[in-house]
Amino acid sequence: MLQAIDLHKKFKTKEAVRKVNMQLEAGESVGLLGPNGAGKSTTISMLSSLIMPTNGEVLWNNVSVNKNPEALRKALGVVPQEIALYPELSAKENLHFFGRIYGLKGQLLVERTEEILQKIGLTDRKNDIVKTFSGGMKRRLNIGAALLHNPSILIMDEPTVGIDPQSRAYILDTVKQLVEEGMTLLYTSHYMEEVELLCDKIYIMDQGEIIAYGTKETLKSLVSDNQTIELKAHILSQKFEEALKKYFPTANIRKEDEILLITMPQNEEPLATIFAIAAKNAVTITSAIVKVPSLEDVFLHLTGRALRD
Amino acid sequence: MKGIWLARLQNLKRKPLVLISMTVMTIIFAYILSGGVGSSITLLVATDDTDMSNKVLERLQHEDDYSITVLSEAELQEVMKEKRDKIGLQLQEKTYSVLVDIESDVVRMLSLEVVTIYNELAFQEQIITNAGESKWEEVEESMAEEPSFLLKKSSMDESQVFRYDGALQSLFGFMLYFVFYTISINVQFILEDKRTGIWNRLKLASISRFQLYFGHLSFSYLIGLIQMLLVIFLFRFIIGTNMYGGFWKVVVISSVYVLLVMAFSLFIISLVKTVSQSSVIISLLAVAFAMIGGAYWPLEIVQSEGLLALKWISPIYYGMEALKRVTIYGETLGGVFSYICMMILLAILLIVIGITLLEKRTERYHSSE
Repeated sequence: MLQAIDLHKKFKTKEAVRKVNMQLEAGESVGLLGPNGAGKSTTISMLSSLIMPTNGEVLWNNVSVNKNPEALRKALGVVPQEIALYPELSAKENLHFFGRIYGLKGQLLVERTEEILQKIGLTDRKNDIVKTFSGGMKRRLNIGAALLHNPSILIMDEPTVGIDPQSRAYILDTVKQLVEEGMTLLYTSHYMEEVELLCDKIYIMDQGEIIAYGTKETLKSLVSDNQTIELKAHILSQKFEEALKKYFPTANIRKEDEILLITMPQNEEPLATIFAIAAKNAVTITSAIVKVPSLEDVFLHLTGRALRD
Repeated sequence: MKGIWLARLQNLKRKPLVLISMTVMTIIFAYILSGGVGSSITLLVATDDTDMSNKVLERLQHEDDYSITVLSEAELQEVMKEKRDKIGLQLQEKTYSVLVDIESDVVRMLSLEVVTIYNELAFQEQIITNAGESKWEEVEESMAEEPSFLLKKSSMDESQVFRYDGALQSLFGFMLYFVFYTISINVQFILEDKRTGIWNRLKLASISRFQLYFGHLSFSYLIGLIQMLLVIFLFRFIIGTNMYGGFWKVVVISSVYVLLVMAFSLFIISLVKTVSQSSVIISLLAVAFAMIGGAYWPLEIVQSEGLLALKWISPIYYGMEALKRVTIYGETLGGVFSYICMMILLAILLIVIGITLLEKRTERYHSSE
């Protein structure tokens, strides 16, 4: 178990991280969500023993990482935000290099390299020089280099920045597979949909502080338990609106710019009823969108700013 | 550390151009600007065909310092009339004449050398005449075992004498200048590894900071040293440049100079953020240091007091002075001890400052997330 207790980091006059408390249980996938400059990378650097906190402590299986980083380092794989690879070497040479650094050698090194190449889908390109790779391939190899020594906990810092949607999907699938295989994951991103897809528990960070944490559902409930249905029709008659109000007495129904907005609790499934009422009132619905709160809304609700501002 | 060396070697294998081009450029510049020949003094010698003059000629031919062309007396007179930049030497039984237009330090040393040979041969002849060949062998043996006195040849106020050897000036100058680039480009890998996150990856694999710095710096040091040694060996043993018997001293000083340049490059990369910034600074400084350090021209011809005062900040100055002193001036390593010490002390200081600043920069990388 990896635990951060009251982590605090100050660089000269700038307070990068303030009083961060986090916990990762074995096999858990945890997201760290926040905009650029929120302090995510500094937190990760402290958690992975790269930098010392100004105050507070990191514990790995109840042993202080500040005092004894070796135990954590053996079990830890880190995928940095940068492409931490030698561009002049081939994919295989890079993996061999990082494998050797972790003490792998001989047949074990060869086997492990092949396994990783297969996992990240680069077996066919293993002898190609990294600088000839696309952004997505480099990102995949960047992940592969962190998996060579078979870590039990993986920290990923924005692993999909600046790549095409296809490579992004491939990487997310790979990570999902790792989580399913039991890997403990700490995933940082400012893409809330990635965090939503991969993580059971989410910490939201802003301006150096954890501002909220919990499961997706818990966090979303901070905004609202309601859903909003947006309806567009050829003619939205007053009669139709009244019929809806009669059928859904607890719903908030209002019209904005020729769109009918119906807000009601999420546990109701009203679409079939709405379409039936529309048919009865000779209203042709041209579009219906059901909106539930997203993590973006949660962030907006908590900070008053959008995640990608 | 083995892993770092391996990665650097693989990188070098893929991108050997820097090492090759810097070595080739040193060779080309030094060779062309030194006139394309070794630095032995070309002597045109004529003898009167007596036993003594022929023996003197034979002894001179064994000296590395001279490249000798033997002519008849008439030919020598004729050539010296036309080619006034040559040094002519007319050897006779009891005396000799140096035919030269301008008196110089080289001519004075040549005269001293010839006189010494005449005296030694006369002494040998006297012994043989009076006591026989076997006695001379006995004397020669005892002299070799226990010299009764030591003759040291030196000019008055040695430090004030300006000696110039164009071949060595070009060789040392360009060698010290170009190796600056080779080493700094190699040291820049530290900056690049830190920027790309490879440094952190290695730290997470429990490689200590000492191992990381030592791995990178020792590799850069070795590459720089290999380049210098290649050039020194090539000029000494293939081109035949005269190093005045100071070959091994040149090797020792070069190895200390490489350490200083490596430390200086480390210091520079600790002041900048990117490899391109460091490349620009190093290019500017290398040229400036070569100028004020006496790589392009001997500092003895520089008149500006201001420029001369700046020489102390140039690593090239220490290397250049030490190399010239152990070769052209015939000094021992002890004689250039102050330069060697200065280079080592500066290197230690710059390494300590460089690493401290780089470590602080690592913290700043995290803070600029």
